[in-house]
Amino acid sequence: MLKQKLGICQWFHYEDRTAVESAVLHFGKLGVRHLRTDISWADASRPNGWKWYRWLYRELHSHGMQILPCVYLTPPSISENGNTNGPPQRLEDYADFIARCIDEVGQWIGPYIEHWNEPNNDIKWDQQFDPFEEGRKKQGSMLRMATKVAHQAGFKPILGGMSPIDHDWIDLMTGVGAMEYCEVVAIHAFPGMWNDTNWKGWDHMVEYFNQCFPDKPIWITEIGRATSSPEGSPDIQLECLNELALALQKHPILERAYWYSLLDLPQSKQEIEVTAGGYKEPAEHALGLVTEKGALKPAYARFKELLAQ
Amino acid sequence: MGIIEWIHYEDFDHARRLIDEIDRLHIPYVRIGFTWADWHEEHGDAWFKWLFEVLSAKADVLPCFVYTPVHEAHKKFDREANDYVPYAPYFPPKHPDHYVKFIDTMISRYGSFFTHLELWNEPNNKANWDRSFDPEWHMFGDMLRRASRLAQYRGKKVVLGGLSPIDPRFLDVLHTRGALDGIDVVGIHAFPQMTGWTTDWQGWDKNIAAVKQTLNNYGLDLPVWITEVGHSTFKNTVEEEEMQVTVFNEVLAAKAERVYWYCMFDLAREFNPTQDDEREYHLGIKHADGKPKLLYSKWLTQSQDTEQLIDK
Repeated sequence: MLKQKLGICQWFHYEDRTAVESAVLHFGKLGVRHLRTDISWADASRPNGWKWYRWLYRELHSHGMQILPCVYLTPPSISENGNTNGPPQRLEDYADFIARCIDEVGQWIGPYIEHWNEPNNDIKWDQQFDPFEEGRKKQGSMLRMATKVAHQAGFKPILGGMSPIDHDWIDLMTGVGAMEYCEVVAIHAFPGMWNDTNWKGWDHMVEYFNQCFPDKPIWITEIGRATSSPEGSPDIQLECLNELALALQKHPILERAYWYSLLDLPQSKQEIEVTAGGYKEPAEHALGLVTEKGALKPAYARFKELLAQ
Repeated sequence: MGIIEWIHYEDFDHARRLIDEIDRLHIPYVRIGFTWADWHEEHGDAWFKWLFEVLSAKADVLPCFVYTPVHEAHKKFDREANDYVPYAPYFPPKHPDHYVKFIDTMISRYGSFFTHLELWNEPNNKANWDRSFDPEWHMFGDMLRRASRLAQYRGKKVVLGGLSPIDPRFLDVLHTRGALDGIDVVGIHAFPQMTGWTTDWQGWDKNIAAVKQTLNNYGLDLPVWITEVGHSTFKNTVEEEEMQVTVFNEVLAAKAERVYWYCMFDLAREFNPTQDDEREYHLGIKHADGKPKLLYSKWLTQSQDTEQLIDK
């Protein structure tokens, strides 16, 4: 039952085949069926980019994964701010890229495609180049074109999970027609940390969803809690997972959730998005169910139990 | 002794008048609010750049990064009125992430103009951080912790936005949020002779000792700066002007590594129509029209004496 609703979000760095092999073993042990991972537009634009993604998606698919790809990260060379979080200079390029993704790896993904990641978060979309107060016109137009392409190709588009959860942003996107083909609303939640420090629990959130998005199921495309101090601990992570499981069973509106994440981000690696100063937050490296050295955290066994139910 | 002044977005005239006085009085330190809200104005970047350049040519600049832009702020619903409460810059942000990113951007763009930066202003005062959104400072503590570590990582020293009132228990809260580790200097604010603004005044040394004691409990030995102190002359009497001098002399004797006096000019009423406490308008050492108060004259004499001493 939960197996149909609860999956894992795991990013893979470019050509990191070792991480993929390790993840696939764990997916098998845990009984994971749903996986959310990335297609980095920037990485795909490298000389061997598509070779890597074809390998990655074929490999994951061959292990029985049903994959939700999250497509984002502008190639710096065509980005307005020279960074991966800048709007592309030609907004239609992103829609073209979605078409390319479908051509290259479409047989191994779907039916859902997530367009951008945390698009309402400055770190993932540089609002200096597309201010919220001016209606986020570039983002709206880019997402409207891209979701249409996905829809016409027979896929189901989703706008990237929001962080924080903010109906004002969905209203903006709805206003410009970017929600037209989206059947679900995607959110991110890190209860008790980051943008969710004053988390009031899933019941409270569901009340909010019912009020703001009455006709749309909710997909939680990232949910997690760090095991580092002071952001959390292994026990707090376990509690977060248990509360999520209860909420998924209790509220049909919560249709899908992807736990963030399986593997701790190694200390030697940067997050996929890097802010200007290059500062790494310690919590980013402690969100997995498995430590860098391969030790299983308490939530790992519980995750397995839940999927077996 | 430094000076603290709040300057409105693109009020070039105010900034120029302040700079003239900094020059005349030989003031070595200036603390200025660079608000996150102003940064989002149309010419926010150019205004910040200009202000940093002209100020840092004359004095050491301590920027205070505070106040949420309208589109970043949480919305507040008033159930009785069945409507949203109008936005205020002290509403916490929906995205604490964005404040952290804002600090990153400030360091990238203007980092060459300052060595220390101040994170928020009077976070334990409900007029500067609306606690109804964040009753136990979970959000503030986390935001401060992240922003301070980022700033330190990027080579800046972090001043905790001045405590007002000077309540060491707030440091206990920040400690439990893990937010004291990224702090290099603790700021405190007081207006010792102003009823209602500062209550049950025990003197600077007792207050500073209490702050230091609390920090000691956590194994921290940090400098304490008085980032705001002042006295209002709202009745326009000689006694008030003399009291301003007394408050000034007392704070000079305080055991604080640095002091910022609030402020140079009385608030111009036409630009600040909404202060609900009349005393807010009269904290300057000069009247709004530029006429000096007693403290200004004494400060000027002192700086001229010092100058002559140096010349000799």
